[in-house]
Amino acid sequence: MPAYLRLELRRLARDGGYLMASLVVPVAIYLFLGQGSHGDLVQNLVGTAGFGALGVVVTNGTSIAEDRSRGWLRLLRLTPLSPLDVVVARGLCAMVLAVLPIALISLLGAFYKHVPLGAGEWVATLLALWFGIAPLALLGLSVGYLCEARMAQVVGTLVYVGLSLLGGLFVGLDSFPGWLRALAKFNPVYGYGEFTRKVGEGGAPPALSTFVLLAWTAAFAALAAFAYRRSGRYS
Amino acid sequence: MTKSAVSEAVATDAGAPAVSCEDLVKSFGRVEAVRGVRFAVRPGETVAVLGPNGAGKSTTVHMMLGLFPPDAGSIELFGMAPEKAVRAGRVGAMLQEGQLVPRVTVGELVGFVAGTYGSQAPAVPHTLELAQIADLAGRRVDKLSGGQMQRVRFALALAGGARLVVLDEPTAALDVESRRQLWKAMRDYAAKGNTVVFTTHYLEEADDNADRIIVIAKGQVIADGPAEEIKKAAGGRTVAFRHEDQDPDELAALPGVNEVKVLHGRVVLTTTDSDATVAALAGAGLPMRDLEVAGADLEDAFVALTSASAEGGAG
Repeated sequence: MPAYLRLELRRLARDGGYLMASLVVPVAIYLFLGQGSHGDLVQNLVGTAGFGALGVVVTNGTSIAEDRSRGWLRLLRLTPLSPLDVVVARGLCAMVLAVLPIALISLLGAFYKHVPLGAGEWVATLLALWFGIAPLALLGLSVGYLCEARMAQVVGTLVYVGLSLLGGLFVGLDSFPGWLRALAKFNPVYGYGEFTRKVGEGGAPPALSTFVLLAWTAAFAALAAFAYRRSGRYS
Repeated sequence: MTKSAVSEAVATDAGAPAVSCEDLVKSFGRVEAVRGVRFAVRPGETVAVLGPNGAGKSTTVHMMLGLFPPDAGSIELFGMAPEKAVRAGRVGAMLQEGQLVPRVTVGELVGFVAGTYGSQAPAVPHTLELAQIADLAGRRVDKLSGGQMQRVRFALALAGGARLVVLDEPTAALDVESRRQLWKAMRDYAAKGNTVVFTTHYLEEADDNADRIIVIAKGQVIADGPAEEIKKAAGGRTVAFRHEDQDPDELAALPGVNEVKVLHGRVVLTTTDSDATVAALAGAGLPMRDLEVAGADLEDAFVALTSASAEGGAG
């Protein structure tokens, strides 16, 4: 599995265009967002870093559909490599990729925007940003295994943009109508943002969003396992 | 996916056939792709699975490799379920379709696949050499021509040093010289005691490169044996000479003759034993100017065999 993970990471490292493109939007958004209160500064940092991380874990997933259409998944299946190792390595790829936007936005936050977080708060924020993206990485894998290549792109974009907007990553939920606000609380991206903000502000992990994140992790892990098994029959 | 306790227990593959297909059946929707295919391959054999497009060759190969299960029937490779044999590193495979994954070099890809087989894999440069792609080692696989890609896929099948290599239409998209090289590499690989199963619809490839030919048409095995035997089954050889005043009945009575035809001023005898036929012709003092003896080529054999099966005959 380490050999497979290395190969996939090497492939990613050679995809400079993709890596740049996946960083440009969150960085641009972050630079355009104005300064504000302490709360706004943390909100903007978490919102854009989370948005960037979401983008790369979703596209990592949808690229699986492309790999399948090229026969790569089938080729892997014909080697002694364990199928589970392949899925796990792809999930780890997503987690490695997520480091890039999180690190870049955080560096900008610390040294350019001067987000006033203490060292402990920074560590907590970074860890929350990183671990919290895991359920969405699983969702990305599911989309990649469930959909054909072009469909995966569309679904991936819908997930990326839709969940970000409805999850209040940029705009607080206050501007939403009541029913949407109630619904948003169960959005995994809302849970992700809320969890990270609270933890970043030095608070205890909020119960509801912790629960929402854990529940979605379980649900998306099950979905990814199902999607992977289903795709095995056709790959 | 449910494996019986019995097949689980047969972990040893000593003496087991390299491939054993029992009455395989597979349908896709209402299309019956494979309808009762049954054959076995002994370790060390090189077997061609020959048939026209749509005969069910690829479906059979995919099931052999455990890519999807048969609707009915069973497959074992070295006495194991296919997925298990693949996981155990017993199988190297080359499938037809699919480009290669972008942004890796030929050397990296072959090295990676070899690595998944552990210590049994031969050195990567050796495999690259064998597949005639040593000069491409540093090239990105997505920047290769179709023929080069085909050779890379062949290298991937050999990279693990597996005892069974399965090649689905390995020479599609290759030019004549590359084809020749690929078959030579394949024969070298087989000569080391490995088992090779390949599909083809190039008839002379089956004839030239396999110990045995399994002819598949319409999802069924219609012939299985050495190339010579298959040609014989389909009418053997032809003896032709100028048409003069020979008596057709006398010709038909000659030893070995199945059929007498007159075409463009020439008599064409189809015979199962051309030596005996020619000897008898000479013995009877029949005129046979411009004598030609030819093996019915596999193409003829193939057409005869497939049309026989199409007529629904039990034979």
